[in-house]
Parts: sequence; structure tokens; C-alpha cells
Amino acid sequence: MKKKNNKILSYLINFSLILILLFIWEQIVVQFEIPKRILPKPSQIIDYLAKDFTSGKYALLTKTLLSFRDALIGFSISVFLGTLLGIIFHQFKILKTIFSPFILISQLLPVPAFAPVVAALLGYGFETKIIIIVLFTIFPVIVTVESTISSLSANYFALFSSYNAKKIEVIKKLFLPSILPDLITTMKILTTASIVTSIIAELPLTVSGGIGKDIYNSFNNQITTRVWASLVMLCTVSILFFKSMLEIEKTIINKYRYAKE
Amino acid sequence: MKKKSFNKFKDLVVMALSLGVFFVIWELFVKYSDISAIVLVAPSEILPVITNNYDTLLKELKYTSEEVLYGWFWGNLLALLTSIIIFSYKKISDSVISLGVIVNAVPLIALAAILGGFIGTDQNAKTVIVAILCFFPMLIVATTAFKRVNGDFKRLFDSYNSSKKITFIKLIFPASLPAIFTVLKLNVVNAITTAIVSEFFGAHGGIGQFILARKGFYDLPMVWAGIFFIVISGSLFYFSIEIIKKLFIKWN
Amino acid sequence: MQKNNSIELKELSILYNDLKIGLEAVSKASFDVKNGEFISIVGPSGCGKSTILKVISDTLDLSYSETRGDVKVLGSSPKIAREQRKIGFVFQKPTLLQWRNLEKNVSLPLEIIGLNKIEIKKRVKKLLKMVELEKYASYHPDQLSGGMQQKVSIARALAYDPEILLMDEPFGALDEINRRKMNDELLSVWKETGKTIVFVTHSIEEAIYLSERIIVLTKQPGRIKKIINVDLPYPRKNELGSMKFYKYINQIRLLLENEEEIV
Repeated sequence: MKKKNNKILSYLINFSLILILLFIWEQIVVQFEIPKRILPKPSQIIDYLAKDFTSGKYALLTKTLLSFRDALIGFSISVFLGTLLGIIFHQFKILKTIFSPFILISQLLPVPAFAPVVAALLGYGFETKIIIIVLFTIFPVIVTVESTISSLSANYFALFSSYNAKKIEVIKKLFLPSILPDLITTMKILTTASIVTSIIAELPLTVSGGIGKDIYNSFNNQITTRVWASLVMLCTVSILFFKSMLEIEKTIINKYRYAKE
Repeated sequence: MKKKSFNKFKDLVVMALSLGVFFVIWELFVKYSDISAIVLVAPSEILPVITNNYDTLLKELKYTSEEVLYGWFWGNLLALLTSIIIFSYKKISDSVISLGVIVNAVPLIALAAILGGFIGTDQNAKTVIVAILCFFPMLIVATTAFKRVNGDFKRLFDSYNSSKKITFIKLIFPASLPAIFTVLKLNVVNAITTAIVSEFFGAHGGIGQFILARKGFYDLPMVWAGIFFIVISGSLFYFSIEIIKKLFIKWN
Repeated sequence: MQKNNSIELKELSILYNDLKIGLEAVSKASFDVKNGEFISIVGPSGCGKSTILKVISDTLDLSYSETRGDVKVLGSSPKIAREQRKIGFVFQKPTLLQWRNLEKNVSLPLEIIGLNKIEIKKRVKKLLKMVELEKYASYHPDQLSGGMQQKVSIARALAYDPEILLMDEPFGALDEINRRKMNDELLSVWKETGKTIVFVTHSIEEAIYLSERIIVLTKQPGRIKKIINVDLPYPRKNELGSMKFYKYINQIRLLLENEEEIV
């Protein structure tokens, strides 16, 4: 009972903190007479969003969800493919050596500069967008998986060796459960990266319907309120995505009883 | 020890070879395909651009590097200290983590745009943005690592009746170091990308801003030259952290 | 290979090959282990006793070491013995899978072998009963003490009924009292199952308490200094204070301290 009370209390505290911040924001704009094109008032942003929802078109919502859908697809591919590659790189160290420079470089390339290049090489469609998202989010997964497996005690390998276990068994029964905690931590961090990359990848591409292009256009046309409204939608989706990762983490920890505090 | 260092040497040779093969393929691809010059430029054209504009490139790189280094350093340091405080005072932990969750979940662009409006577009502003974006991954990983180690060894150390402070210094912190170093490395990449992208949103200098300007002029060899600089300096930074990690862990 | 020998070592040398001058971990070790025998290997840290176990169980990392000499396990090479799952290994650390409960930890090798679920459940129950942990079947490793975890480790090593049990300082992390308890439990398991046990330890007392013969190894490079027959009756609880026991302790202690005397 006490735990539930504490949880409700912390929600209330967080909620009131946000309200206070919004209030301060509103007051700052009013008091300092900040022009709308630099910083709109929270009330104006909420107003804009309400209009968008009630218009029946839900333009901002649809676009945000579309960008999110693509981010989610890229994110999932990165997780699965990254895990697979991490295991392969652990098994075949030579592959790791050959590809590690490219993996690192792919992470250092500034996405806005590189997305157009990839698009020009591979086309301007949906698949390219996904490829770009995967390209820029897969590295942490590969690194995490490979380093977690490499840091397993040699005893575990000796143990499975004494059972004459086939490689697939070792992967199923040793590697995958071992990497799960660290993989989830990486996935938590990648939630925002995948969304950001999705947004940026939209800009050079012709296929659209995403919120990235919309933000870019309204930014250039100085429709600042729309920009901020879009950002609010984006942030909300990001936070929900992150929280869902936290839920997944909790389920896994409970099911597998990884060292609890 | 001879075999170990020979293996390291072999690895470097393989890496250099695969990079070399990659550049050859790149060069041939540009030469023999009809890819437009406003998209992909051959390495052979980029190289002279680099050598001719070395000083300019270096100057812009230095500008961005300061944003990256200071931001990375302070972001990670503050995150570690905050994690330690959170770990010691469980009461505020939940609200701080919630706040951390929210800020981490706010996409980079939103953050850069918002903060750009508030704190300006000069070098210090960029440093702050980099610091914030390094702060939260480190906060999340460090607090998770501390909690996990604590769980593993709780019973053991409880039986020794050792004070929480000593437990932390002698056990929890060292045991969390591998995870912390991994995040330090990933934050290197994070810091560089953040600095560059936030420069795209308006900056007084720096290599990101440099690339953007040249892109506007369709001076693609220069853009690629800038990218080369970013990649090379970024790799050096990354590997130096890797080396520091190996030394540190050996020492411990 | 003699019919009643489980393990035969002839002039086994183990070298680490990542240095210019090959570092010898073990030098020309020769001994036999009879079927169902309980022997200990005793020596200072770093004398290669754990490495010998690795060679016998074919779990030595050959990218860092090489061996000379001949090793036979149950009539064939260590590799074949491992492939036929004739060897159970108990490590210094329990090496349990944190995400599985005790029952699933013990059943791990049986799952890999491909036994059916009913048979697995039966065997696991029997094994947990043997180490007196049946009540804790649904517990997780992190809920148990080190000693209990090692008991699970032993139960797991016996799950697929290997002929030989290799144990590498399994009770080293335990305190005096628990160590003594575990020693007694191990002896009763040995009595019940009749396995061949090779037990590595750096505790002279433990070696004398447990084994029929003790192989004393010198410091690196490990050479066999002497093989001692422990002429004491089981159970040895009553022998603990006896003169004979102390004589053995002294004998081995002198062997380990005095490097010149090689027999």
C-alpha cells in the first residue's frame, strides 16, 4: 500500500513540476514581451494543437505517428540485426576486425550531411529511409552485444564445452539471456536516436507524410507555433516510447530475476 | 607477450587493408558509374582539397572540437556525480530519473531548436547542448550499473557490515567501470554528432556549419573534406578513450 | 591404457606460447587415477594444477598454450571423453546461470543432451535430493549462499552421470565451517555414486581429509614432487585430531616449503 502511495505521490510531484514550468514559461514570454516567432506561449501551442485535433484532419498527429512508425521499424531491425552481427563478430573475430572501422565511421558521419548521399545512391523511397535509420542506430547494439559476450567468464564457455553443446545451443541458452539486460539499456538510449534519425532522413527524400518535412517547412516559413506544436507531439511520442522500454525492462527483470536490488 | 602484440599488429594491418579496399572501390565506382558530381565525389578529388585547405579545415575543426570535448567532459562528469548522489539518496532518485527520462526522450532536434532559441548559437551554447546529450545516457547507465552491482554483492557486504561509503568506493564503483567506459565511448560518438547537427541549426563557426555552407554552394569536395576531418578526428578521440579504458582496467 | 585406470598422464608438459621463451606451466607430469578413486592435487598458486584439469577435460585454450606428452581419459583422448560427456566439471565459482532457478540450472546439461521432459524432471529431483536442496528448486542463485550454490553446481555436474568429476578448488570461497560441511557432503556423494574424483585445492588439510592419494606439485613450472598415499580410514572426522593426520600435514608442508627435495 505504501509503495502505491509513493508512486502516486511521485506522479503528482512530476505533474505539478511540469505545470509550474509551463506557468513560468508563459509568464516569461508575457513579461519580456518575447515575439511569437522566437518563443510562443504554452497557451498558444496548446491552442494550435487543439485546433489541429478538432479540425478532424489530425495532420500533426498522423505525421508524427508516421515518423514514429518508421523509427520503430528501423529500431527493431537494428536490434535484431545488431544482435546477430554482434554474435557473428564474437565468433569470427576476423570479421570484427575488418568491419569495425566502417561501423565506427558510420556512427561519426553527420546524419544530415549523409542522408542525401545515401538517398542518391539507393533511391529516394521508403526503403532508403529505413536503411538510413538502421545505419545510424545499429552500432551501439553490435558493440554492446559483442562486448557483453566477450566479457563472459571463460568458465561458462568451458561449462558448455563439457556438455559438448552445439553452437546454436550456446547462443540460445547462454548468449541471448546474458545480453538481455545490457541490450535493453542500449535500446532505451536508442529510442530517441531512432526517432531523430527518422526525422532527419525525411528531409532529402521524396516519400513523405512524416513530421520531419513538416517541421522543416514550417520552420522555413516561420510558422513558429506549428514548429513548437510539432515538437511537443514529437516529444510526447518519444517519452511514451521510452516509457514502454522501461516497462519491457521491468518485465524481463522480473521474469528472469536478474540481480535485483 | 610477443604473440599478443603481433596479433594487435595483424589486426591493424587487416583494418588498414579493408579501408584501403574500400577507398579503391569508392574511387572506381565514381569513375565508372554516372553518379552525379553533386552527390558523390571520388577520393582522389577530395585529397587535394584537403591539402589545399588544411588550415581552414583545422580551424573549423578546432572550434567544434572545443564544443565536443568540453561538452563531453562536463556532461559525463556531472552525470556520474548525479548518479552517485542519486544512489546515496534513494528518496530523490525517482524524481530525478523521471526528469532524466523526459530530457533524454526529447529528440535532439527539438532540444537543439529549443535551446538554440534560449541560449544562443555560439560555441558555449553548443557545448551546453553536447553536455546535456551526454548527460542522460551516462546517468541512465551509471545508475543502472550501480544498482545492479549493489544487488549482486549486497549480501556479501552486508555480512561484512561495511559502511555504505566504503562499499561504494571499493566495490560498486570499480565493478561499474566497464559499463561506464562503454557509455563514455558511445558518448564520444554522441557528442560529435550532436555538435555537428546543432551547428546545422545555426552557428558562428565549426566544421558542421562549414559543411552546411559549402553544401549550399554545391562545393561537394569541400563538404567531403570536412566529413573526412570529422571522421578522422572522431576516430582518434574514440580510440584514445578505448586505450585509456584498457589502461585503467589493467591498473585496477 | 590399464583397464582399471580412468586417467593416465605420461610426461605431460603444458606450455604458454605467447612469450618469446616458452613459459612452462607444468613440466613432465606423470600419474594415473584408478576408477572410482578420489585423488587431490595440492600445490602453491600458479603451479598449474587448474591447467592440468583443463587438459584432462579438453577445455584448455589452445590459442595460448600447447601440450606435450600423452593424456588418456577412459581409454581415449580427452577430446573424445568430452564429446562423449564423460566428464563433469565443478569450477571455483559456482558458474550458475543467474536467469534460471535451481531446477533449471541442474537441468541445463540434460536439455542440451536432449532428454525428454519427464525424465529430466525425475533426474533433477533425485539430484537436488542428493545435495539436500529439493526444497529450493524454484529459488534463484542470487537467493542462496555460496555453499548452496556450489552444491547446485555439483548436482549439475553429476546430472548426466559422468564417470569422472573434476573439481577446481570448489570450496575455496567458503568459510571454515561451511567448508567442513561441504567436504562431508562431497564424501557422501562420492560414496553414493562411486565416481572418479580429481580434486584440486591449496588446502593441505582439505586434501588429506578428502582423498585416498595426494599429488604434490611444486611451484611453477609444476612438477610432481611426490604422490602420497593417505592411509586413514573413512569417515575421517574422527581422525582430525590424530597424530597420523598431523604427520601427513607436516609431510606435505615440508614438501611444499622445501624446493630441493624431489622424489
